[in-house]
Amino acid sequence: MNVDKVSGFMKENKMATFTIFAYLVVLIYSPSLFFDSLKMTSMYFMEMLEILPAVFIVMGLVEVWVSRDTIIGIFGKGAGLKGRLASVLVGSFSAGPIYAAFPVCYTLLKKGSSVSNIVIILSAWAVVKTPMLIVEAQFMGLSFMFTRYIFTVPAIILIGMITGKVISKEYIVKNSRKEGLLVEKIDQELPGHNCGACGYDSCHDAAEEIAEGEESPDVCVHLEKEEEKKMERLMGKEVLEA
Amino acid sequence: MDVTTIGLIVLAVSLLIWSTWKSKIKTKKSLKVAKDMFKGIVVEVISILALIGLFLTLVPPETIRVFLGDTSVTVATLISASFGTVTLIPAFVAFPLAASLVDAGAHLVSMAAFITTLTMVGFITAPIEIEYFGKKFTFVRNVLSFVAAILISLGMGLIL
Repeated sequence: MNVDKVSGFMKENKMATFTIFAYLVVLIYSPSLFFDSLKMTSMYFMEMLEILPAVFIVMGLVEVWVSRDTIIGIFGKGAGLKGRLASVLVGSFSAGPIYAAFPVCYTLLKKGSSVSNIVIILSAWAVVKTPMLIVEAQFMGLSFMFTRYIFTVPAIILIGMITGKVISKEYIVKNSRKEGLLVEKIDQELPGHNCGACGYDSCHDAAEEIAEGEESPDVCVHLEKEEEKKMERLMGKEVLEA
Repeated sequence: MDVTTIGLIVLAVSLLIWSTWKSKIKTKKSLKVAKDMFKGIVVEVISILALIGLFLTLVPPETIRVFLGDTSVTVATLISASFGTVTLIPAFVAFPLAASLVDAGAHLVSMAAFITTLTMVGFITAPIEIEYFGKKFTFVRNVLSFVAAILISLGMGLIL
């Protein structure tokens, strides 16, 4: 086996490396525990396979078909109470564990949702989704379920609002390791005058084209050489020094 | 499979059919987006699921009963909330467990804390959350959710 390849994999997938290591330790220590763990894992794995592909297909379609303005209108900063309730609603009719909610919220954020509303979606997804409430009523009784719901909905709206105050969208754009935010990163480099000199209606539209490689950064007349280079670096292009 | 999972799959398939009927190019593009999203998360999710499987085999949720013993409601609530924080259990496992703990003498308040942190606060899913939203976001959201879980359960204690 190629050593470079192995160490490269380990660096890129720290979590997986750690997990494999933990399993090896357990295998040496107790093979029966090892197989029990695998059995437990396969149950979670099946749950993931039922949900993730469907969630991602829906989100892929949202990304392509739903316009930015629509998302801003529903989940954007100006959406107010209606936006909060819409977020609770989306979370309530979701399926699957919270990790399936991360990519969904991330897509919505990219499309113009506010930080507080994606936190509300995340939380509602986690604690008040409908299938969960049904199981809860079955085992804990209706009054337990109902009381928890009454307390939880205002609580998650509050959590969302506080997180939205503390964390800016710019912070997430800078710190996310997902590539999809490239458009936002490029958009931040653009001047934001929406002057239209590049032929696009807004800087954001131009950023989308630049991110996809359909357009070169120098389409923007306001950019200095330095900024153009920075943008190309963002896009992972080698900048050739003249 | 529960109703919403089936609903979700039906929704995905029907939207896909609608999209293909409207525009093949756009559909192709959306499927590529979906594929990239999946590729970006799948290794990490599988490793985390495997870790949860390992953790729950080593420390089965029933062990929480041992710790709950004769402690006061406050301590029991904190223990339950902490246990909920480190694990991630599907609702169909968590609720029967919580119900059996209540039968065994656990207080409803601590079970409310357990269920809320279990689902909303994710110690084990934090690496994925950080990947998408950054460290500070993950920290703030999880700490606020933990505090909220305790407050929710205390509030429920006043009513139930």
